[in-house]
Amino acid sequence: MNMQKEKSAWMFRTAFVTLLASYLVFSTLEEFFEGFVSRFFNLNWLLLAVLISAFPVFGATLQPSVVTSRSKGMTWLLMAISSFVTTVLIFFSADAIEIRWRMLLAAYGGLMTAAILLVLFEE
Amino acid sequence: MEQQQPMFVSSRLRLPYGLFLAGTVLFFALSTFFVRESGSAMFDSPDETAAALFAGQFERASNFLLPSPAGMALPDSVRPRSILRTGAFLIPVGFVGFPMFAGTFAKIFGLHGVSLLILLIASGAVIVWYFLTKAMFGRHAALLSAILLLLQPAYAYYTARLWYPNVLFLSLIIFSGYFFVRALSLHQIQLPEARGVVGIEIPVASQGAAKKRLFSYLAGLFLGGALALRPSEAGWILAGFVFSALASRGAIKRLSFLFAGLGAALPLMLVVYMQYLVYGAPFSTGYASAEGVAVFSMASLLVAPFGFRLTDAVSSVFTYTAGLFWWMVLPWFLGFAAVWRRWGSGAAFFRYRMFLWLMAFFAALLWFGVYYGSWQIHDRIDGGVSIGVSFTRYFLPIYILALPIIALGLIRTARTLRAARPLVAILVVALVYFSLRSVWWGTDDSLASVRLTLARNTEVRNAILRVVAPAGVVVSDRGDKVVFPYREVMAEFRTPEALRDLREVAQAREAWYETIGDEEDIRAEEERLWKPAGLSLGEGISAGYGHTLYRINSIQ
Repeated sequence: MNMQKEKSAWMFRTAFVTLLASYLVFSTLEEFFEGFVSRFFNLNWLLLAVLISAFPVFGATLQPSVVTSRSKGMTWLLMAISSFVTTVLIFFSADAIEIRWRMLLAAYGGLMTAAILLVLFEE
Repeated sequence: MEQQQPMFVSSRLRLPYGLFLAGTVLFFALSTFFVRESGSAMFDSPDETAAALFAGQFERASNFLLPSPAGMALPDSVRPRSILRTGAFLIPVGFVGFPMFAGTFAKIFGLHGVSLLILLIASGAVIVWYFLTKAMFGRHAALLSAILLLLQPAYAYYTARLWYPNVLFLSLIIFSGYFFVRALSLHQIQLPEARGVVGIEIPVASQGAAKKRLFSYLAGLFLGGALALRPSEAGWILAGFVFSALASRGAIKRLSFLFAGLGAALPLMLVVYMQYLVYGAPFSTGYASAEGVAVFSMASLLVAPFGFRLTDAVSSVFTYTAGLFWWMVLPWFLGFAAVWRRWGSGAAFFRYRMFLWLMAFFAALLWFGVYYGSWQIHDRIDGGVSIGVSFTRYFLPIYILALPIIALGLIRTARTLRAARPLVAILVVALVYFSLRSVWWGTDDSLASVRLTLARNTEVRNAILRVVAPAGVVVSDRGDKVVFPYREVMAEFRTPEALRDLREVAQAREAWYETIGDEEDIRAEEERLWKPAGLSLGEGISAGYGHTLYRINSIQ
């Protein structure tokens, strides 16, 4: 019975992760290349699928996580990479803004990314 | 339930708090950059131009009788948008509270100092937002929703375009809400971690009478200040207050109504007195004359002043929430799903607070959808959807009420997907990137583009001023924001009465038509509009960037 329950929880979680990842990728592609995705299907249906798949996943009881020095290190690495990516993305995209202010804006973006991830990944 | 000491910031959370404060400082610095670089002599909308001009006038003379550029009496139709004419003087169309506030403080700090003060208030409101939402959602969601407020595109955008009063208004509401909660002497306790991510506020036994009065007074003062800036928002503020009072389960008795009333009375009485001086009646606004309505009092502004058009309302709300800021939709839905799933299993306090917040959010959607969504707004010539269209500033309360739900969605997703954290990181990177892009450089209404437009418009203005005599009148659909207050402007000229006035003006002084239309279209318009009114257009003179001036002649 427990095995069955675990299996279905794993399936729901996998479905949620897959749909969420697909939505993120497709909507970002659509933003940069208008019509790239929407020519083939409406992204709102995918959004609806993400939402539906979230319900059973969010209903499950959270298991206490085990924080190891390795997992902690990986989390810090992920935060550093994410902040760096945001900073670089902003710096090279916002070329309409003069350089010193663009640097400040890029730093701000990186900082905000780090702040959000720190709150989210706090154990 | 056992009551515990107020929660302290744990060592692990110090860094995010530090980053949040650093982010708030950068938010202030970046907004200051836009204000400084775009200058204070020109604005990209007639509303901003009028607010800044009348603030300057109030600073100098403590009144709103702005001498017209030519300094002489002209027909009342010779006026730019957002401004009315009375003889040789100009008075504001919009609410006088904002220019009065700015002008009063400008007497002490100067107009540039007032700009910084408004930015400081908007930045401070973000920190106060944290303390306010902590009372509802606990520190994690509150901190996250405060960080998200720094990133909320409409909030950031209209903070930088500070001569729109909307962010200042909302900041004062946030301050008032905070002191309102303090006056009810709610006190933070933390539930055991196993119970969930939210903390809870419960009324404590008592607090000193002096404190209670002070907090009540400040809550009233900020609320009165907000209402003085935008009296048209009184309807939902009143409804929100009644809703909060009923939801407080008796704690409302702790509010000192006397002191709250005293606080609110000060700014409200000032603005009512000023309206009496400017418009001749304490509850009249400049919108009366601008809209040509005989009685358009403040009372009629409270409910559906723009009518009720269901299709337009639904379309506006959808377009300017989910459509414009689409990257916020997914985390909002995740937050909604998280709340929904915990509904049955969550503690009673959780259900109650979530219910209140969701009620407030959906009520705001309905209210602002009907109130403003029914309005036909033509901010852009192409009718496009962008962050610069006024709906985004009117819908600010909707965006802000959505933030804690988004925060809960992100928190729940991150905790559920511990093994898929890179996915959460991508979601966050996208959220930050798209938010900043829409504010700063992504569209032709973003701040970088606005700055460029202002630089170009300055060149156009200089070219026009070289051609048009100081006592001349410039007729233009949208060029008032370029030419005014350096020359007399006539922005609404397509009615028979206005054309009659224009003919009179053209016989007495120089009159010019400024337009960005094609020569062919202008000549067709001349046959259709100008000639039947006894007017003709001379040869076009380029003012640069597609702007052309045509001398308007009266046909004898």
